[in-house]
Amino acid sequence: MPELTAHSIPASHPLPPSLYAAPPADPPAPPVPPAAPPPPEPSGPENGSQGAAPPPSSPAVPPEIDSRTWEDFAVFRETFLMYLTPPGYAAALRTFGEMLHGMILEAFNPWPGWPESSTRTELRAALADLRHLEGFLGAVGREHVVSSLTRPDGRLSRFAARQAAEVAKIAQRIEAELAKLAAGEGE
Amino acid sequence: MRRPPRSKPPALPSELEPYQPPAPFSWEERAVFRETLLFYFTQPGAGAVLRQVGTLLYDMTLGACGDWPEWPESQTRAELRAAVADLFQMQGFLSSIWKDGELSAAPAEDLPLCKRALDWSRVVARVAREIDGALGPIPGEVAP
Repeated sequence: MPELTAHSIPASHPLPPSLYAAPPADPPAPPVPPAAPPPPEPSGPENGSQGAAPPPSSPAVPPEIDSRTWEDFAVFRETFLMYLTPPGYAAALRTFGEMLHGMILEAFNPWPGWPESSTRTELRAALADLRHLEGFLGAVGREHVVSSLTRPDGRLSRFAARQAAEVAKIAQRIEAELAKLAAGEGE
Repeated sequence: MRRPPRSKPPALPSELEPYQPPAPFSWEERAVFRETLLFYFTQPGAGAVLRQVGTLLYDMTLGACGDWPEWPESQTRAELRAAVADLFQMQGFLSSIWKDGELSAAPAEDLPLCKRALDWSRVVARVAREIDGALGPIPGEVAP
């Protein structure tokens, strides 16, 4: 039986070089839309704590997130979890995410510090996530061009393109503010 | 679970590569993990590895999801609903930066940024509400 120790902070082994490889330049195409919508069913516990309990076979849908509980959804993007429609799959990853987030908050202090303040680092991370959302909404905004959509979905697609531009504006403001501060300190 | 008080040193030895937001990859190359999580992983290369794991997971998911239950609405609507959820999550994250400023947990030179974070969180929430309003309830669900 191995000897147990009080702490198990992972050693700082260098990661295998192959894992440093850049992500592929040609990302996978989005999945084919479902052929036909199934009978409507309510959302439920797959999506977090909100909502009424659905029948067990109900496909999972994105949760209604109260911004005050943002830390309950800190790991996985909902734009990814939306694909995990089998009941319980997305909920399992959210639970794993809660565990991972909790562990990180316990463990990150010995890790190397950031090159700038935590506020600026957090804003840079938020900026990256906003750019992701801009790209995602932009892709939804092109669906009316690249796919055959119903008329209402076509309208929604064009609306998504406009909202992508709104998200881009927020990202640009954050980017400009961070750049201004960095420039001011560099003088 | 609340975030612990900040205790990170502001400086980093120059030979290490700290967390850096990713280069302008396509959104699909960071489709899984939030950057607001990955910034904690300051070990050199760790964020890149997790992004790569995310790409793999995303790819596998797209390969498998064709056999999974369909959404109760069209894909366009499901995608926008997921974006609404992520926007509200982002609102919460930006609000927490503002709160840190209010609690004097941020350095003085960053307080203006903390104040702006509240404005940005409100704009993000407005975008989320606009999309949510355009979607309406999920078919079969009773609007609150």
